[in-house]
Amino acid sequence: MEVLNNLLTGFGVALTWQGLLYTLIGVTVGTLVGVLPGLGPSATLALLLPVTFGLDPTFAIAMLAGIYYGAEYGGSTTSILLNLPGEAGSVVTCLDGNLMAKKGRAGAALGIAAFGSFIAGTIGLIAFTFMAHPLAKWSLSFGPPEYSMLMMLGLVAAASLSRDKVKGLVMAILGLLLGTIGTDTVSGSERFTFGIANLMSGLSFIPVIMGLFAVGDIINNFTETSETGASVTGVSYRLRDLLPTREDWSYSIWPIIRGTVVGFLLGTLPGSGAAVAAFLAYSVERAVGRRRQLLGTGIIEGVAAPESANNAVTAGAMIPLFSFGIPGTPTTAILAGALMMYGLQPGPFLFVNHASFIWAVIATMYIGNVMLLVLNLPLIGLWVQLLKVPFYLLAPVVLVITVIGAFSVNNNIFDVWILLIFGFLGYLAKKNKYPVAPLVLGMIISKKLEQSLRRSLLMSLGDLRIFVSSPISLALSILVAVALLATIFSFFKSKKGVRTQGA
Amino acid sequence: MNVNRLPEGIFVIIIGLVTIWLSLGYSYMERFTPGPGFFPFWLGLLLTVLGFIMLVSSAAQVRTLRRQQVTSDSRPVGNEVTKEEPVIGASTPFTGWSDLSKVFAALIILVLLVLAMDWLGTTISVALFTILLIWFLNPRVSWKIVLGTGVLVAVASYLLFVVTLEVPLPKGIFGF
Repeated sequence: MEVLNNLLTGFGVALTWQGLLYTLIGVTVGTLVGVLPGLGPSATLALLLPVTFGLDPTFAIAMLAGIYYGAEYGGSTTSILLNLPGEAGSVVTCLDGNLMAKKGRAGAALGIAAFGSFIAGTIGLIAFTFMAHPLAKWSLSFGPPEYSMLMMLGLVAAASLSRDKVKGLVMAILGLLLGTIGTDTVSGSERFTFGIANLMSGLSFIPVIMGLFAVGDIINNFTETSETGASVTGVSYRLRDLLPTREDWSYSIWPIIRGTVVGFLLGTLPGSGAAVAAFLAYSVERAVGRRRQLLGTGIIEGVAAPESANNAVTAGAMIPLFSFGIPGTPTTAILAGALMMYGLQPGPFLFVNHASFIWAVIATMYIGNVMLLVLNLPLIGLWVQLLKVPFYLLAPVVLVITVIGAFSVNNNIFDVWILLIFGFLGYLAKKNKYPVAPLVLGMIISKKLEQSLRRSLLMSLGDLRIFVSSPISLALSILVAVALLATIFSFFKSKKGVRTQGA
Repeated sequence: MNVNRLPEGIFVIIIGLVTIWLSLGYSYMERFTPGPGFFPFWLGLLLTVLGFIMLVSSAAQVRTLRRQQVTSDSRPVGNEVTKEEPVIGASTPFTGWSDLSKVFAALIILVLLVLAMDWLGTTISVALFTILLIWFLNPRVSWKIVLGTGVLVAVASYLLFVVTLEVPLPKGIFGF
């Protein structure tokens, strides 16, 4: 089979010592940031982008992807041991995971989280392997009108997943606007540069992303006294105690499978993240699980389902990125930025023009999942020790990396100022509950969306009906309209919500 | 939850209008094809519309809340609102002035780092920055740890970025 052949070739690259090394670094760093609360995968990816500059693109993307799915493994550790979610995807795991730890079953909870993550990650990857290329082929038949509508759908979906959908839309449009800064690719005229030479080639993604995610988060932490001072006692990290019993397995296997399906499907939808998937998987267990009435009292299903789901999401989320070129989550948006940094346009053409690259990256993901399972169980004790690193030591290190990283994008101090400006804006956005992910998404697809829109209108000589002329574009247009109407509807509903609350 | 989004709505409208105004400086159509002004113009228009939606929704919510608060004494006991209670008030972007001063102090330290990089060189600036920031975040930390971390971060970043990755960081008067 063609897919298996391609994958085998990919393994040839992935199994070289560099492939193994960078995958290992990726998944280890990923687990680390998953464990450390307050430093999420998006911020870390943004942080490490500049460090990957000198690398071969295959290994760089393998490492960055490793951080992404590795973080979902690590997040469960602190949820279970400290009732403190390491990252957003593991919030639900606290419910049953921490109660299990209090009952003395921390080992089994940690174990099933790791096994569940491995099973879900691998099944998700297999699905991704077989779906990605056919979907990419299909998306190659899309013309500019279809692409325009697909990108709009992605943006609206990303925006509408935030709690305040209007704020999400505002951020998405601001992102599109930021993406227009620089020389217009079609006409060659300068836009919004205000005579600043450094802006002529556009605003660099990296300082903006690092500013919004990493610097904004750190500055926000300054104002929240987060003295963890975590201490975990009385937990055995010996391998024997981490292996779930036969009984645990019989309770967990279906939640793991259901979590995988929920997570993978949600991952393919733009805008949904690990947190939503984990929460939904938990809700599914509450509805159909064998011991659903016991959920929330510290049973193993409550760990197995969400931890599987948040890992399956990472595999599903690769589909919009690699098959359609439209990243659906903040983390894949940063991956898209990284691809573009290497001159690789995310999307279906990767399978055509850079087949060896894409299959090698996919192969490293299989290896990374195995590495995570083998390495992390014995290392849990070490991760818990690392939690004791105080924030006042972590903060300067992170900030120094961002400043030097921003500089190294163009070897220019101008990008460092951009970093600081967007760091402050990221802090303001966070404090006022404006989601930054739609902004990053908008900025990354801005040029592509504008080009497709203008090309579509060129094809039709300005006739807007081109966006509903083919079945695909018609369907996509309807979806965009429905999503937009839902946004407006939600704004009326929230008004009603306030009205009825006091009654 | 603060429902007063009047300032935010106005701000979004201003950005939208400025965008429209700037986009009019670029040609909207070039012969039969949309020109460089086409896309920004529509983005500006959308922002303005969204800003108005924010204004309208905010005004409506504030009005219904006021009405509720007048009659809130008649609310039956035991039917407490469990969600975040909506509040009418100026929507302040900060939780307090002490936060604001902390954020600005941190930003000033960062700006100092960037300004110092050209003059003192990156390595020394990074060491000073680390020391200053740790001291600012937690003045009770012993000076040995503060100095040690400062030197460690500076040396590590020099080895990683200058030696290994060959980033041409500003060298300053000392040459490193």
